[in-house]
Amino acid sequence: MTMYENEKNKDTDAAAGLHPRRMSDSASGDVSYEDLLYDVGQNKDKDSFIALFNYFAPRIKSFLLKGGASETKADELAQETMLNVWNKAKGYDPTKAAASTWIFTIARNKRIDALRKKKYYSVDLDNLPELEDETDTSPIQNAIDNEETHAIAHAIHNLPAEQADLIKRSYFEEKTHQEIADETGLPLGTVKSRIRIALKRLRQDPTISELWT
Amino acid sequence: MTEHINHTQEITDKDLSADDLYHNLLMDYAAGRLAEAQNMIIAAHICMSGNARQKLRQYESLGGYMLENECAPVSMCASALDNTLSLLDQVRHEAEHKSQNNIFPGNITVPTPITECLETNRVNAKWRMLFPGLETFKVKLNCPRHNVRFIKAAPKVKTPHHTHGGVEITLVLDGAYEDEYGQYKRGDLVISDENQRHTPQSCARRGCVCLIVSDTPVRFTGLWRILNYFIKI
Repeated sequence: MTMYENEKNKDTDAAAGLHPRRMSDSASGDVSYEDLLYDVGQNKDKDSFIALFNYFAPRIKSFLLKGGASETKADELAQETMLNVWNKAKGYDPTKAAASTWIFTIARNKRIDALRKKKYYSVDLDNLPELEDETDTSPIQNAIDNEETHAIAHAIHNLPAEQADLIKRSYFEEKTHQEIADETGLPLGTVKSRIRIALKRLRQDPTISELWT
Repeated sequence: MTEHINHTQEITDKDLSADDLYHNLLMDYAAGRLAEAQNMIIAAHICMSGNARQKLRQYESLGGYMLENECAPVSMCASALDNTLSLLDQVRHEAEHKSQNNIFPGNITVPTPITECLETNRVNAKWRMLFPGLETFKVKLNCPRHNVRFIKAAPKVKTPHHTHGGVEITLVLDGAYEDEYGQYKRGDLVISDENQRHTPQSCARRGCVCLIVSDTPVRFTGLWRILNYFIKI
C-alpha cells in the first residue's frame, strides 16, 4: 500500500471516501471537485459550494495552522478563503487547473495578506493577458484526469523523508531561505542547496519528468 | 534540454545548476515565500513568459496536492459554514486599484508587478547616466540583502567585464543583449552565479532595458577594476 492510500484511510471526511477527488453520487454518477467548483462559478450553486466547503475548509484550516496561524485565526481565514472561492469561481477554468490547485492559490494569497503583512506581487494566471508568442495554450489535461496528482503523490513518496519534508515545508511555512538559515543556524548556502537538491530529485522522478517537460 | 541523471543516484551541490535555482524560484513563488525583490522580478517574468506560466502551474499543482493530501482536515468551528453562507449574497465591491499610468521612464511597457513596485515604494523613476550609453536607477525594497536596479543600454553598448559576488537575476524588459553564454530577448530571465564572469553587449537595433536583482554589488574585473571605486551599480 502506498503512503498516498495510507493518508486517505486516515481521512475520515465522509465526502472524501477512498477516491479523494470524486464524490460518490448515486443519482448522477461521480461528481468531481472540479465539477462542483465550475458549478459554483457558473451557476452560483450553494449545494455545490457547501460540498466544497465541507471538503476544503478543514484542509485550508490545517494548511494555515501549519503556517503558524492560531486556531481562531486559521478558522477565520479558512472561512474568508472559502468566501473568496465563491466570489472568484467565475474565473475558474477546469481545463487549466485542478480544483485543489485553484483553491490552494486562493488560500496562499489569503495567508500572505493576513499573516505575512508584507507586499507580495501576485500574478493571477486566470486573468493574465495572452502572450503574442503563446507557448502556454496547452490545457493541462491531467488536471482533469488526476494523472498529475497521482504522479506527485508517487514522486513525493519516493523521496527520502527528509527531502519530502523540505518540499512540504516550503509550501506550509512562508519563511524565506534567509529566515530558515537564521532560525536553524545553518549556513544560507546549505539551506539553499538542500531544497534545490530535493526539488531536483522530485523533478527527476520518471513520471514527473515526463509530465512536466 | 533534458538531464540524464539516474534518479536514484545521490545528488550533491556540484550537480546544481542555474536551472535548479530557476525551478526553486518558481516553486518558492508558487508557495508564496520569496523575498520582495525576487518576488517582484519573478512575478514580472511570469507575466512575460509562457514557459514560466506553465512551470508556475506545475508548482501550483504541487501546492494543490499539499493542500489536499498533506493537510489532515481540522474541524471547523460549529458556526463556520452558516457564517460563510450568510455572507455569500453580500454585494462585494472590488477593491481593485489598478493604476493605468505607466510611470516607467521612456516609451516601454513593463508588466504590472514592476509598476506596482515603483508606485508602492515611491521610486523616483528617472534614468541616471552611469557612463555614456548606459543609464540606471535603483530601487530600495524591504529586503536589504538584495540589490535592485534597472539599466538601459543604448544599441551596441558593452558593459565592462565583471563578476558577481552572489547570484544575479536579470529580466530583459525591452530589446535584447548577448554575452559569452548566449543571447537574451524580451521576457527572458537570465541567472548568473558567483563564478561567471561576463561581458554583456546590448543588441544593435534597440539596445536593451533590464531589471536586475542581485545578492551583492557587481565587481568589475581585469583593468576595469578601477571602476569599482567610482561606480556603484
